[in-house]
Formats: sequence, C-alpha cells, structure tokens
Amino acid sequence: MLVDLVKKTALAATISIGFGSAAFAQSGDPIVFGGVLPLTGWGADAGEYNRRGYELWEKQVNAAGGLLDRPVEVKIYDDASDPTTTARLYERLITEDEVDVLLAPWSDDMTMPATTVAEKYGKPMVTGGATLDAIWGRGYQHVNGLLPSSYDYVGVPMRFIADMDGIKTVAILNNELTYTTGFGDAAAKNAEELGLEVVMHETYGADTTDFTALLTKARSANPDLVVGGTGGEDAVQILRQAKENDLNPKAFYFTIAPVDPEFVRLLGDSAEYVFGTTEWEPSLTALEGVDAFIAGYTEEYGEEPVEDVATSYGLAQVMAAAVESAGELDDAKISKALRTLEVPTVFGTYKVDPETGVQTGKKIYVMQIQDGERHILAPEANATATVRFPTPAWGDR
Amino acid sequence: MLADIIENAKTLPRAWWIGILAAVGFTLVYAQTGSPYYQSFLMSLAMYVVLCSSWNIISGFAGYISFGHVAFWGLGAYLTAILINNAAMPWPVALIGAGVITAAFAALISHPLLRLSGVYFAIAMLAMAEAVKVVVSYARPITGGGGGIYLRPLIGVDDAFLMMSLLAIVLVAMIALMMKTRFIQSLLAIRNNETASDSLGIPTARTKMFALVTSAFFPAIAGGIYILNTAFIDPKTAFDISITINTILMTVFGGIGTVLGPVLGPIAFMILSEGLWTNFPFVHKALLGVIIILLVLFLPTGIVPAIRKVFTGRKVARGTP
Amino acid sequence: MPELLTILISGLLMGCIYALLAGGLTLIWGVMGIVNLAHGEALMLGCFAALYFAATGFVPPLAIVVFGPLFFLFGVLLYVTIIRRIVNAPELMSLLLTFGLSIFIKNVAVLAWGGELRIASYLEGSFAFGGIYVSKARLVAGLIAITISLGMYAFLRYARQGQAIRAVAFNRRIAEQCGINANAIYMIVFGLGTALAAAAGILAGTIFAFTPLVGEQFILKAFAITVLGGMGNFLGALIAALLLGVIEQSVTYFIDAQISAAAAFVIIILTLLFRPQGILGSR
Repeated sequence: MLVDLVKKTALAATISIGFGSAAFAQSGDPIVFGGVLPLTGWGADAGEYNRRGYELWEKQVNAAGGLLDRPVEVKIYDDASDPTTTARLYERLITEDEVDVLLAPWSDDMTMPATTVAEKYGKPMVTGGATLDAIWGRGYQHVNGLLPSSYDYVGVPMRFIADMDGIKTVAILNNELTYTTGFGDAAAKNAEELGLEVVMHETYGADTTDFTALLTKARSANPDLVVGGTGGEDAVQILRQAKENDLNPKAFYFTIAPVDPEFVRLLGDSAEYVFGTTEWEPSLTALEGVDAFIAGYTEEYGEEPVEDVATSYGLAQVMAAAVESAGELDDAKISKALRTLEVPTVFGTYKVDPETGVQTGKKIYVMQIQDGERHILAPEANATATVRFPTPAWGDR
Repeated sequence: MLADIIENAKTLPRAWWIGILAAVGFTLVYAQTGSPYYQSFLMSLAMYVVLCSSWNIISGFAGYISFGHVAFWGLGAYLTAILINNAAMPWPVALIGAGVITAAFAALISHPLLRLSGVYFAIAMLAMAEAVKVVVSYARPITGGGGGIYLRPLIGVDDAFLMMSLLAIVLVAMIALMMKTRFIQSLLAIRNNETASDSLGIPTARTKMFALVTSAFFPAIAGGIYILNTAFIDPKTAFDISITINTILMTVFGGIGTVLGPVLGPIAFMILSEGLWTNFPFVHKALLGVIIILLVLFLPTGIVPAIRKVFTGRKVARGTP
Repeated sequence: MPELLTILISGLLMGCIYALLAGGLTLIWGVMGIVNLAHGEALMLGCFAALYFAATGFVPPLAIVVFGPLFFLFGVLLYVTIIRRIVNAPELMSLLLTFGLSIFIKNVAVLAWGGELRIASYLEGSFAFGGIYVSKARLVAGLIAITISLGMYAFLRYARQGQAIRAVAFNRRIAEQCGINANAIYMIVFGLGTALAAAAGILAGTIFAFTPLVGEQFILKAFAITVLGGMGNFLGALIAALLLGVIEQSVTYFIDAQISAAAAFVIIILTLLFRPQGILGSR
C-alpha cells in the first residue's frame, strides 16, 4: 500500500510541458523527447532559458511537419538543482516514461550523474550546459558533448589574448565549484602550452564576497592577464574590487559571467575591455535557421534569446537529426549517428570526436565588452569589432 | 548487552517482527522486480531513514542536537571513492572501510565536542561539517577538490536499493532491539539529567562516544552506497547543509527520540514535499518554511507520539518504542 | 608593507559591518536564549531596503534612518506573532522555528524580487595614498557601522532601558521581581536585533552585489563572532568581529583563499573547546 502511495505521489510529481499531440495533423503518436532541468533552486534562471529553447523547438518542428512524419513532444522534469534528483528523474524518463529521446540536463554537477544513467541504459545523450573534461574521461559510448571542452572554452580566448603585445604572465583565480575548478585547470594547462608564466593560481570559496586580500596578492604578482574561472556573482565582485584595489593587468578574462546581460548592467563602465568566451550571439546570423529561431523567440517572449536558449534549441536539433539519420527510434543507431553526423544548428555546427564524443565542430568566439555591448573579436569572419588592447589602468579610464 | 538484546527481543511485540520481516521480504522481491525509478525513489527514502535513525541516536536519545550529520554521509561517500580509486580496494571492502574510518573520526572528535552541551554542541557540529567540506575541497590530490570525485559505476540501482533498504532495516531493527538495553537507557538518562546519570555510575563519556560513533557509522555506509551507484560526488553535494536540515526536520516531524519516528518522518515528509512540489512548483520552498513553523508551534513532539496519543488516549513518554 | 595595511584596513572595515550583524545576534541570543537562524534574512531585507532607497535618488546609507525604525517594528511584529511562543522551548525547537522563518522569508523574497544579482552602488573606487587602497564605499559603511555599534553599546551600558535589558539577560526572575517586564524587554531586544542586522544589510548592499540568498553568506560568520565574543557579550562581539575581519584577510593573503573560508568554523571549534565563555568572558 505504501508503495502505491509513493507511486501515486511520485507519478503526480511531474511538470510536463508540451502542447500535446491532439492539435496536430500529423499521423501517429508523438515522439517524446524527455529531459531534466533545474527549474527551481540555484540553477533556475539557466534552467528556464533551456526550457524555453526546447519548447520553442517543439513548436517550430511541429509547425514544420514534425519528425519522421510524427509530431514531437517535449517533457521536462524539475530537479530543483539537486544532482541526486537529476539521476533519479532520468531513471524515470528512461524506465517508466520510456521516452524516445533524451534531452540534456543543465550544469556539470547535474550532468555527471545523468550521463551515468544514460550510459547504463545505452540511451544516447548529448550534454548541454556542461564543459567538465571529466565527463568524457570515462569512456562512455552513448554520451556526446554539444559544448566544447573546458580546455577549448578557455583556450581559444587565451590564445587570442596571448598573441597581444606583452602578455607573458597570468594570474588564475577560480571558484571552488565543479565547473569553475575545471576552468581554472584548463587555464593553467593552456597557459603552460602558450608559454605563459602562471604567477598565481588560487581557488576561492563559493560564498566569497570579499576579494580584497586575494586581489592585493594578485597586484603584488603583477600579472599581464587575469583569468577568472567564475560563474556570475563572483566575477561581478572581483571586477568591482579590482577597481577599488587598482589591479591593472593588460587584460581581464572571465568565464561564463560576461555573456550574461547582468554583467554589464551591474558593472556599467567597469565591464569595459573585459574579455569573455561566447558560444552564441544573436549577431551570428549566418547560422542555419537562426532567423526563424530568433523571430520565434522574440515573438513569444518579447526579448532577444540568450546563449542558453540557443543551446537547448540546437541540442534538440542535433537529437532530431540523429533520429532522422537513423530512420527509426533505435538507440544503437541513434548513438552511432551522433558520433558520425555533422549537424548544422542554430547554435552552430555539431561534430564530435568519434572515439570519445568530445565536441570538435563547435566554433568558439572570443568576445569583449565594448561600449556596454558584447562584441565578437574572433574568428575574424564573425567579428563585429576590433580588439581594444591593452586595458587602460583604472585611473586612466 | 547481548543478554539485554535477547531479553528485549522476547518482549518485542509480534507486530514488530512481522513488520521487519515484511520489509525484508519486500526489499528482496522489489530489488528483483521493481522498476528502476521507484527503486531509486525508495533508495532515497531508505537513505533518509538511515540518516534520521542514526541522527536520532545521538540527538534524540542522548539529547545532543547535531547540526553536522551530513559530514558523516559525505565522508562515507568520499572515503569509499578514495579507497577504490587510490587503494584499489574491491568495493565491499571500501564500503566497510569508509564506515570504519568515519566511525573512527567520530570517536576522535567525540571527546572534545561532546563536552559541549546544548546549542554549543549543535554549532560546533555545524562548524565541524563545514570545516570538513573545506578540507575536502582543498585536498585536491586525493579528493579531486571542487571538481568532485568520480569512479566507475559499480552497482546498479537495484543493488543500491537492496543495500540501502537492508541497511535501513538493520539499523531500525537494531535500535528497536536495543531500546531496553543499558546503552540506550543510559542515553535517555543522559538526556534527562547528565550530572545525575554521572553520579549514578553511568559512564557518560564512554556512552556518549559510543552513541556518536554508531551515529556516524551508518550514514557513512549510506553515503558509500550512494556514490557506488551515482559514481560522482562533489563537495557541494556531499556536505550540503540541507541534508542535515532535512534529517532533523524529518525526525522531528516523525517524532524525535522514538524508534518509528525516524521511519515515518521521512515517508510523510517526502510525500508531503513531493505533493507540494507538484502543486506549487515555484512557491513550495516558502510553503515548506510555513510548514516548519506550524510543526514547531503545533506538533513539536512529531506524528508518532501524536498518533499514539490518539490510539491510547494518553501521553507516552519519549523514548518508548 | 602598504599591502599589509591595505588588507588590515579592509579587514577592520569588514569587521565593523560584521559587528553590526553579530551584535544583533548576540543580543537576542544572550537575552532571550534564542539562536536566531533567520538573522541573515534581516540582513538580506536590509540590502533590498538600500536598493529601493537608492532608486529614489537618495544616498543608500541614509536608508538606515528611514528603515531602521521600520525594521525595529518588523522585529517586534515577528516577536509578538511567532517568536514569543518559543522563548522557553527547548533549543531544537527555537532553532527549527527560526530556520523555518529563514527559508520562508528568503523564498518569498525570491518570488517577489527574483533571484538576480543587484547592488545599491553609489560610490566607486577608492582612496589611495602611498600604495594603500581604501574602498570609498567600504570606508563610509565601516564608519557608520562602528558608530551604530558603539552607540548601541553605550545604550546597553548607560541608558535605563539598556540596563533593564542587561538585567533580564543576567537573571530574568530577579529582574521581574524588580518590576521589569521581561516580555516587553524581549520584544524590544528582538526588534533591536532585527534592526541591527538590517542596518548591516543596508551597508553591505552598498559594497557587494547580492541576491535574496545573501543571508547564507553571512550568518555563519555571525555565529563564529558570537561564539568568539561570548554569547550575549556585545562588546565581545564587536572585538571578535574586527578580529574575524582581519583573520579572514590575513589567511587569504598569507595562506590561501579556500582555507580562509574555513576560518570562521575553525574559530568556532577552537573557542568552544578552549574558551567557551568567549574572549572577554570570565569563567
């Protein structure tokens, strides 16, 4: 009886989104795409953007005639930003709901257990908001990346900056969280390969608000480049306090934070000259299907889409392309397709290493904040501005 | 103590034996036939039964309220992974090893920390757990630092469910059988009046230490089973203070200082919070706050004593099974 | 050397803000015997008060004058409706209740204001002399904080009401026999404690970016200070707060930032083990 009760409650515990198949003209039952996102808890903002991407994709695919002549349906559960729950809900999607195709979770610590579940059932998965190198270090056959690894994420802009005049030393500060630690490590590895001397590499606690001592230390080390393995809030605190403490490297580079519109809103002029990595910008209009994507999103939500929306939309496109290539809902065939296909999406080109599943096709763009806007500097074909370098001292701005 | 347990076993009501056997039977069958999702759900439930029942030993029976219980769970998970990865131990050995090392750690900290009483002990345990988290985040060469630790998934969800559920049953049955033993009676005496217990010849220091050690061993094993199944953990998850808070809430909800409270508490609580989550996905946390406040104000002894009161029409002292 | 002075000054200024927060916590703890886990949420509400005050065009620290009394009333209201019922309850119950209050306030704030980062920024940059940097916003905040703390200390020490508060903290029964209404004192103390935390929040909100979860970042530090200063010892908390500020900065500078995050916890454990009465207390 108890089990029944538990079952009932658990079954009820679903936030399923989707438009249902009844309204569509296509024949047959819908192909169900299921994923788990943090719709509440600390990851809620990113989770919500990802959800919108999946939802928009569902709507537009169905309007265009569906997949394999069947409509598609997106089913999302909320893991409340708790990795334990993520794993449990993927078990559920696979074994109870028997969804046809998996969608990705969000963030590294949720992705680690989720990929383990997917691999166990041989269910193909393309990871979305995850860059941790450890995900692909485990020899999984059914797990592939949509985003480039941390190594490239940090490496592409670092290589760009290292080409500038007088960049010889680097200070790396990173948050102790899972993915930011990954960025810190990647930065150290890239610095070594670029022949940059790491004059400081320090990890700080996730709850740190006061960076005075750390930045004073960094000032004494006098680096040409400051790399922040940051997630959001910490980057804002660091840059504000870098100004207060007159830390003047030739360049600041932060992970993740600068692509968030909040970064410029909160920092104002202090955000100028900061380098970042972007994987998607609305200015990348050459991407296939991106116009319809942006138009659809803007119509629905009254604002331009951000990177997270494009990520999930593109991810769903990749899964759909693999299903189409397999011609049927056969996990082994889809897995194989995911390792060999090259898929153009609104997010960029998907192509993975056939051995490891590591993303190799996705372009990474070097970005800089200029006059309050995010501008792509490299690759040149996509550039919307030229680099401003070196970063002037705080007193000279 | 063994004689006490046997004596106790004779007087344990038949319903208890039936319950234990039914739980074991269900576990064995469901591990073979159940669906992985519900196994995984029930595994979480069993994990909280273990956390609550073990917390109840030191905090419910002995009255030393611990706000650092998650440390034992997190240490168990980390040590299991470390013993497998770095010492190449087979996983069952690593699991037991993690339990033993965590218990030894508890013994080590018990002497200084258990001298503190009341809210000071609570805060010291909280600080201990946070300090352990920092150490684990810092000791990168061994623990992987903030990037977390991972291993090959070694057991499936069915085996993890089986082990977690059996662990919970063993722990609850053990406590039920030990209620009349000198050990638990001494803890109850300490809770009521430690100075008096001391003067009555109860070796309070040793008894409390044993309580903390027992209280640490079981969550460590649970943490080990957890990581054998999920194959990854990072400090943020392993030492998440909300696991401690959940443990305390569930136990108080069920009935602190009772045997069945830490079993019914997690069941009721998980059903309640999943229900909230379904119907009010975006306000459920605020509602949870309201529920906690109402619980403290109107049902401070928990549901088990309340149910018992309804059935017997009288109030039963805390600490009876 | 200028580096050392920079971090010393910055640590002391941080300590002044910690002192304001911990002063409220230690007051409530000492007088009422309640460990208020919702104390960090009063700080969070203070941050938002500063933000809204800044939006009207005023200088954010002035929000203390307007919002201080309002937060005092908020504390009184909390006492009358909820806290009153658990004053003499077992400590687990008061811990749980204030924890419930904490997650309630925090999550209502998330629902009302959203989870994004904000800052009530009005002064940027720093004063620099001889290689020493002192953040302008932090200097103003620190000076205001220490003034309020010292004023509060003088109030407790010399004012009639303040003496009554200390009398209740010392022995409620005797105080009541002397004609002091302990219930009224509790109400005032909870109001004052809440207002102090909110004032700390108003100041912190001008220095750091915050979200509705900012209370979690500060509450454990306030615990450490309260323990180190001796529970209920206002002056002790003040000194302990300055100490913690300097210790955090020095550990980061000389050892490691991650270890610095543990400073508060190590202080708690060591104090409880070796000097449970706190730095100023006598056995």
